[in-house]
Amino acid sequence: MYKHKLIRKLLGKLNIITVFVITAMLASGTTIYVLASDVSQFSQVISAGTWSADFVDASGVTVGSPGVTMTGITFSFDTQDANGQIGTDTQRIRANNPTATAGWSVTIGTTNTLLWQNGGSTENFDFNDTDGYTDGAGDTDSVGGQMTINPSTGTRGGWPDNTACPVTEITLGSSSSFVEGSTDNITIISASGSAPTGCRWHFIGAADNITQKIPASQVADTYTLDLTVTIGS
Amino acid sequence: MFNFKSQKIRHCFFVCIFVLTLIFSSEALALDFQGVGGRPAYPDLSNPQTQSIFIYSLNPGQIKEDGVLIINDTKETKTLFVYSADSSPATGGSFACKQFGEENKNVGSWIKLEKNEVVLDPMKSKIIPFTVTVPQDIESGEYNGCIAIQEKKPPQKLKGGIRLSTRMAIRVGVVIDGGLIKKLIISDFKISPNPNGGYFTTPYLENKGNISIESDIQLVTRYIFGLKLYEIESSKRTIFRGETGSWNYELKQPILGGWYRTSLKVGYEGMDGRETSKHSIIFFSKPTKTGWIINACIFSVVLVAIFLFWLYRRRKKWIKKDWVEYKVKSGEDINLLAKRFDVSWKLLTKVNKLKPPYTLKVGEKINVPPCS
Repeated sequence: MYKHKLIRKLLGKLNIITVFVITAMLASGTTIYVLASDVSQFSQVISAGTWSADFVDASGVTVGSPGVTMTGITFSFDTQDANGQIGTDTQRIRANNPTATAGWSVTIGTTNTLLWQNGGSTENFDFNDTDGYTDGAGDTDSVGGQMTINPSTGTRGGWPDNTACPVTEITLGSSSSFVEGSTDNITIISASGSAPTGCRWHFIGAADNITQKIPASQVADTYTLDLTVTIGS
Repeated sequence: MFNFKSQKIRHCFFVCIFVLTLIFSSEALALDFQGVGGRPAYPDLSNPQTQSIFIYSLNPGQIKEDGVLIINDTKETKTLFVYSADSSPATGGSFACKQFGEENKNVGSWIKLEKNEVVLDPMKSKIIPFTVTVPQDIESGEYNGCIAIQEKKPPQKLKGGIRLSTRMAIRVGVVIDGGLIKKLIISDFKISPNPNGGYFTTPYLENKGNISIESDIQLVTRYIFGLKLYEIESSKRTIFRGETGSWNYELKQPILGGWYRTSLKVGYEGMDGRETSKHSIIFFSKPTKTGWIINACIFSVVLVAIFLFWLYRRRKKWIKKDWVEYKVKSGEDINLLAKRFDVSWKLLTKVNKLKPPYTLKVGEKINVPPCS
């Protein structure tokens, strides 16, 4: 049937399955290279993505339920302060810009009529009172209390490092207090229109970068406040 | 008949699976998971900004139809909440918008989204159409709002403290034509200590017009005598209508310390061409630890130099005023005279302009210090 000696010999001596496996591996290896190479015959569309902000741990894994635990204080007839830290090592604020557009900011805020509430919403105090510890006339509620956030004491870094994603055009926000109606959002970090694109940055705050003024004689209880971190241009 | 029990066919099957796995896993590795968000679905290719921001130039009463592309670039199925909101002031003039549930009186109320909730599978996107209806009785100028995209999550279990959530806001800028004013001023320029070391140079730019302004900021810090220390050549920042933008640019503490001048130059495209404003500030900076050591060395060298100069002048005066003529006697040479008058032989030769081998003749008159 096979007159040619070489073909006959190959058919007789070669392990066809082994050759097939080796050929397939080589072929797949080439395919991997082609997929990763700049000059590819394959058509692979990678969409530009979208700006996003999240809280991540030191290894870059998104934290499911981020939060800030404030320092415990005891009941006092005098005013007092509670402190907290936004942007810890295990809950870094990460800003992702996979788009080709530079110029974004990460701000923090909430509904300006919101209050710190206890579990049953029977006790509360303010986070954005115009008068600080006591209730001012310039807002809609009747309780005092004010929160100050100071991002300027924190640090920001590029991902994977500051060489790939420099931080020169990424600036930290200034220390500011929430004031109902006039300061409803505080800037954490912002990128200029000259900042690199296709990059990620993270913010780690310094200890006690949040200070909450607690009104005098505030009822002892566990209070909670919801804040939203927004990334936008 | 196909027989899977056949060894060759079984081999072929596993090989195919292996090859396919290699191909598709490599494709998956090429992608990076980002998050959830969105962008304009139909950007204007002639304006790169429209890839991330909705920008409209409309007339009172006009209706604009558009779409927002909602993206889930994560590995999980996400339920996303999409809503419009008015812009809201943020410190430093950054863009922010109102929260869900807050009353909208501006662009937030002009936008009507076809739906407010979307469920997206991993790595999927969907376009939500919307309309922008500009009221009839609206003044000219720019109005800003946003379309916010936020993940719908069950309430957090955290009790006590601050519960945090994230969202992405796409700016919607609506320019109502007619009577647009572009005016930007430098309202302040400050240098303050950076808690992490060095300084913050903070320009404050106030938008006095009725439309956003794209500014180009240049910051140059020089030693007081002119040598350049640090420069930000071009930092582009948007200052929204009625806002004052401020940004903390870091300046490392100069090593040597002293007086420095930081110059601010702000440029923007005004109504009649390029407009530029300038401001500068002089400040004193303490040296760093290394700077103190360098300064101490420089100070020591200067001190020694001053001392040597003083000594030189004083000696010159002493030679001119006090030295006397002396007649060389037999057996005296320059070394002997130097020892006798307690002066260096080099000084003697220099004052008397003697040439090597500095031999003295008997009876030769030379100048020597007075006998003490």
